[in-house]
Amino acid sequence: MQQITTADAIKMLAEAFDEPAARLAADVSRDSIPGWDSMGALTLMAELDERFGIELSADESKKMTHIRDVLALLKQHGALAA
Amino acid sequence: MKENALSFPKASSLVARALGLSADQLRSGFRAATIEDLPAILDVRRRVIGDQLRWDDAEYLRWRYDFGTAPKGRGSFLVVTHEQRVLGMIGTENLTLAHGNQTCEALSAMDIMVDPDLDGTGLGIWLNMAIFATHPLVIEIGANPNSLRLISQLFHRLPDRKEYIAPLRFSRFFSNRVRVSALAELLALPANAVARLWRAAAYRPKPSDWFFHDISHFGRPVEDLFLRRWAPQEITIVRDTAYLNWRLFGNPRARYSVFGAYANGDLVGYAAYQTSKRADGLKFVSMVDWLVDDRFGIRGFEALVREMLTRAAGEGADFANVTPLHARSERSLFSLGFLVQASRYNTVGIRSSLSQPWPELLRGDAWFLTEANTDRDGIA
Repeated sequence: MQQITTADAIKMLAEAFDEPAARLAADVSRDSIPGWDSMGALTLMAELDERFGIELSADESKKMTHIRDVLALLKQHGALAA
Repeated sequence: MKENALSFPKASSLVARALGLSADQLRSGFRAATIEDLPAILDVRRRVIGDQLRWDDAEYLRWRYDFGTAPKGRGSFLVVTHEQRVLGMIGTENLTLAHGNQTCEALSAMDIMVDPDLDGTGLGIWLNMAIFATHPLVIEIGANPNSLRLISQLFHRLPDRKEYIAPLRFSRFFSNRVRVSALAELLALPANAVARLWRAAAYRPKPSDWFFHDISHFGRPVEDLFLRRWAPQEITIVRDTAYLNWRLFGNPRARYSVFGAYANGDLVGYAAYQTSKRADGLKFVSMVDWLVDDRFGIRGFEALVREMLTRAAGEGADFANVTPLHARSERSLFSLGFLVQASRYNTVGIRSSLSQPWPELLRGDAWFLTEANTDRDGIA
């Protein structure tokens, strides 16, 4: 399993959601990120699948309401360096 | 359009997984809807549109799309089904584009909806991508908050259409801003007078040999007019008799009025408009489509606009508006004193394969599109 840092994870999310990385932090909510829409969610699912083999379901995707939820998921799968 | 956008096979695999299907099940469930699918389609649309659905939706869908039974619309309505359930849908309209004397076929995509229980699965995105896989040239006009980024990522964005608005009666405009209706009427008097004077000064008189006459059915002369259209090198949607009669006179969801301009017995122009009342009570007359003979060009266009404004004023409209993607008309509307209003949802997206017929397809100033090329029908 490839491990990435929190900064790398934020960079990955910035690309998926087409948002500046500086705007993304753990406590930022999905509602405040315009790019975390259906296209952003699908792009994130693709990234997680391709880079870490994490198969995210639609329900799991919908339940992620903050950046910290994505970071927690990465950690849970051993993809985020401690 | 974002170059590193998700590939179709990858999207198929992810969306299928999110739906609890295999990619093969997803692909094989994508098909043209038949009349038997209509009740399930209507149910999804009712749940998505909610209380904004104020028209006979079955009649509307059967007019717009081809469900294999009469009346036949001008494109397929495609659905994704699984075990008799309709999961999502996308409507299409077959269009012929003209550029000079060349033509090519294109598809307009609209009415994309997904069962609300399946939000977040990416099925709406997949429906767009499935259309691209089989059609080399796809146009998508208009967006909503959820589809705006999708359109930017999957389509080449032309400039947004802008709404050009001419105030006709200022009393309603002022009554929304001052509480005393007598004061609103008082303020409106000079404003109305100035607007009338401006129109009288800014508009050139119509060509002396022109007269206007209502049209209730198009015939062959409109096809001759199309061949003689203003600026024929621009890319536009072919107006033939069948298309115009279907689009402007058959639509059960919207009623349009059409008048023709004639010179020496020849049809030299037409304009179609719609009268509607907005949620705030303001009455709008919207010019939704037009053609003008190239011999008259800008002067002919202005004559059509002036006639539309006269009719709008006669109907007691508060505002008249036009929402084109057409650089020539837009310059003219601006110089005629129309106010410009932008909307981030008046998008125009083009998706073309490498074999695109004309490089100008990706240039906004090469296009002539009107409100009739959308599926809005005056519905906000």
